[in-house]
Amino acid sequence: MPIISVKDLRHVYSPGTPFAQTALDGVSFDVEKGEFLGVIGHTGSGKSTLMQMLNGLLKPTSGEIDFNGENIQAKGYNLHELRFSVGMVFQYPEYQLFEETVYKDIAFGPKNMGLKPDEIDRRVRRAAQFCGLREELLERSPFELSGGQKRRAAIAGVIAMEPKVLILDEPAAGLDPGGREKILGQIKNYREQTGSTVVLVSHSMEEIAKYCEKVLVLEKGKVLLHDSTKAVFARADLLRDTGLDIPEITKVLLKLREMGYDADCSAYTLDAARDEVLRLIGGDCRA
Amino acid sequence: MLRDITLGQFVPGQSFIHKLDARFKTVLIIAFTVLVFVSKNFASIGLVAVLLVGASAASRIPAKMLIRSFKPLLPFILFTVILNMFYVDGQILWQFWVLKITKEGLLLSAMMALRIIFMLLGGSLLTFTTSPIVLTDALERLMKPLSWIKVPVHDIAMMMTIALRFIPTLIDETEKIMNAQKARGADLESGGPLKRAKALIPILVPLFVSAFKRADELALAMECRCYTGGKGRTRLKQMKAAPRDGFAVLITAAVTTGVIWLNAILPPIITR
Amino acid sequence: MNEAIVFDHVDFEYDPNEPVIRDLSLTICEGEFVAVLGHNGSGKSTLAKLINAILIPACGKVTVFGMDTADEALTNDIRKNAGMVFQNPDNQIVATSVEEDTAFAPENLGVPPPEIRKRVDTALDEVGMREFADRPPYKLSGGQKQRVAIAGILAMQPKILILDEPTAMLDPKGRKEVMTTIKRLNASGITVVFVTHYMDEAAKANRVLVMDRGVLVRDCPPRTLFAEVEFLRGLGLDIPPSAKLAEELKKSGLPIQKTVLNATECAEEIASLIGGQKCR
Repeated sequence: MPIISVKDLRHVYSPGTPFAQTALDGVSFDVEKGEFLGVIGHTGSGKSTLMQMLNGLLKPTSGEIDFNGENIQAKGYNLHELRFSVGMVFQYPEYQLFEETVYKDIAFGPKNMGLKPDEIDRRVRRAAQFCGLREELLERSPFELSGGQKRRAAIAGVIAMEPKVLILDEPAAGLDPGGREKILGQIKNYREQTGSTVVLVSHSMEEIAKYCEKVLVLEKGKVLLHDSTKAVFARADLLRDTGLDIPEITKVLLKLREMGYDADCSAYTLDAARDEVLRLIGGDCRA
Repeated sequence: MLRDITLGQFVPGQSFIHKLDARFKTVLIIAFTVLVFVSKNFASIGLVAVLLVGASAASRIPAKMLIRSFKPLLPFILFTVILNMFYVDGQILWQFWVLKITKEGLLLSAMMALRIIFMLLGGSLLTFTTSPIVLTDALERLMKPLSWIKVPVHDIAMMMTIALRFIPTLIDETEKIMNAQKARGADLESGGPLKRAKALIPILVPLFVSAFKRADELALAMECRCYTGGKGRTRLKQMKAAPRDGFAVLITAAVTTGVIWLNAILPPIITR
Repeated sequence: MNEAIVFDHVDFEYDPNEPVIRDLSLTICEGEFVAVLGHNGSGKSTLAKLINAILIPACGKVTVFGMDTADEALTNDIRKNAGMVFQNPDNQIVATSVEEDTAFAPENLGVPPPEIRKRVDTALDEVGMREFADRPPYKLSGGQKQRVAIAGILAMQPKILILDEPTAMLDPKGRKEVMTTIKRLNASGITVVFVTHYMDEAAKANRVLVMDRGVLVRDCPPRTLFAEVEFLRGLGLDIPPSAKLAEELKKSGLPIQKTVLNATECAEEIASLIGGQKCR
């Protein structure tokens, strides 16, 4: 049974007014337990709307969302509790820090869950470790931290709830290459250690290519593609025509195709691309 | 969404009233309000009413919207009316124990009610036909003479402009912060007043911190564009008086004359 | 070529024990298109802020067209000539409509109203935002807001445009809009200095300055820089993915001659090697 099942989701903002806007127009897909799903789409494709529905922050105009087989729209469903199982990290999460110490801020989620102090303590320290925050930082004010540290403290605040599904909206936005690698590496590590399902919304094709096994592509409120990463990037021409960015490496292969060579665009990692190019040239030139 | 609600109920339009120079509009509305309170009898206030109805028609704002502008204050108006009805001495029309309704009381309350309603309608007419930013501009230009007695007119106007500019942005940000905290299990809906007040801390602290950061960055950006306060500043948009403004002044002047005359030749509603 | 910006043995520190910029000397000539690269904390933003007198050197001198940034009397003249655009698109827009915001700088300079009108229209045309003139800022996308911020600077008719990580908070579409705009502005003669940590953006410049812990460690064209893969990696930086691919192919023994900067160049290099082996 998929951990999240989305069925024919539709959503219109300000319905019936001159400002009415269709954000989602019949979206259906499943997320399997433990999957690392990447979500791509233009700004305005319905990505954020969709994400906010997965943890019950936004109610769809119509359609169903099931978490562990249960319809979260059903009457009496405890949405407040759902948010502890489907954790969400918004863009620029460091803007939500507010407590006196980093420890207290990370503990906010677990506290709201009504856990006992020693359980909270365990979770806070574990989350801090996953996010590469040293012990000494826990007692400092979150406002004294550097930008990258603040970001990681905010992410730790969600991880501390130990959600079964972790949704991250552009967790590396605005960071330099070193910072990006660090955060994504920590997320990857977190998933490997806990077996959680991770949904990564990103504009960076390189990121999606590097970390995700499956990709969901949204366009104008509809699902354009939902397949393995390899299969999605093999449709590089479709992605490009939709105006979406594709990994630079895929661009190279696509260009080679256009020049008339039989390049396989589904080779989206550096190694695969290298091998593909070598194949085209006719074998490894090393003696 | 929240930010689509424009402030001060401004309704864009091309009517005569919309196109009036905002400085003239502001002064005329003040004059109008004075007339409302200076009218001593029903004839004079009737003339003022004619002016009001005329201006409302000219503004092409639907009557429903105008009425909605004073609806919320109806209870207050009623309260004033009732108070005046029972507490004015004069020719008694009805009495029950200590409560007495007098003819004078009725007349005075009616006058009072009309005055309040007209004043509110006049103010609404201004805010419906003038965008907040244009209004701020007009006020800045009107208050310029005050700067000679060291009132920081420009600074106040600049603060208001920036506030108006950022209100939709801040509303957006509040929504985002609320969502982020709700996603961590913050409960903003349940509990008594104390609990709810505490629940606001995770919203207000980040909002304030970010507001300060914004202010800092904005100030720097302004300095980089050579902002050094109001001295020597020119403006892109010039406010120019047009014939229609003269026309509006004339009409108001005529009504003023009429009110003064009617006040003089007819008795006031009550003689005190 | 006219010297636009000169750094002469500049030192700067926020905290006396932690120098942020150490003995920095460089010259930027009019018309150049310069990228400043570096990891966070390398001093790249500080460098930008030293140009238009937001920060004043502790030692040494910074001059803009001969004007010393340390001279307070010249600050406005310097800023008129060296306009700066920041990272956060929202926190630069001060007025309630696009054209009023663009007019802000000329208004501050006491420019006569008819001239302000001309400058606003021209500036908005240059960034492609003329049709949005009476829109409120909260209805714009990030890329549009950033272009409005640029227009606000152009209205001062500066000779130099400095941008501090202008695309860091934008989506790919916005990044493209902004980069296209600044490239076009440079082509029309404006000196452009932009701070970035995106390699593909730095690849578009004519000259790249690399900062590392307050010291200028490289000053060369992007092609020269991206050949130094290990060096960049050591600084916490990277090279564009196509350049990485070319590197890998080189390691596998292919005779890749060029240091490629983007996908097109990479594909062309590969194609030239495949030569007559068309498989289709």
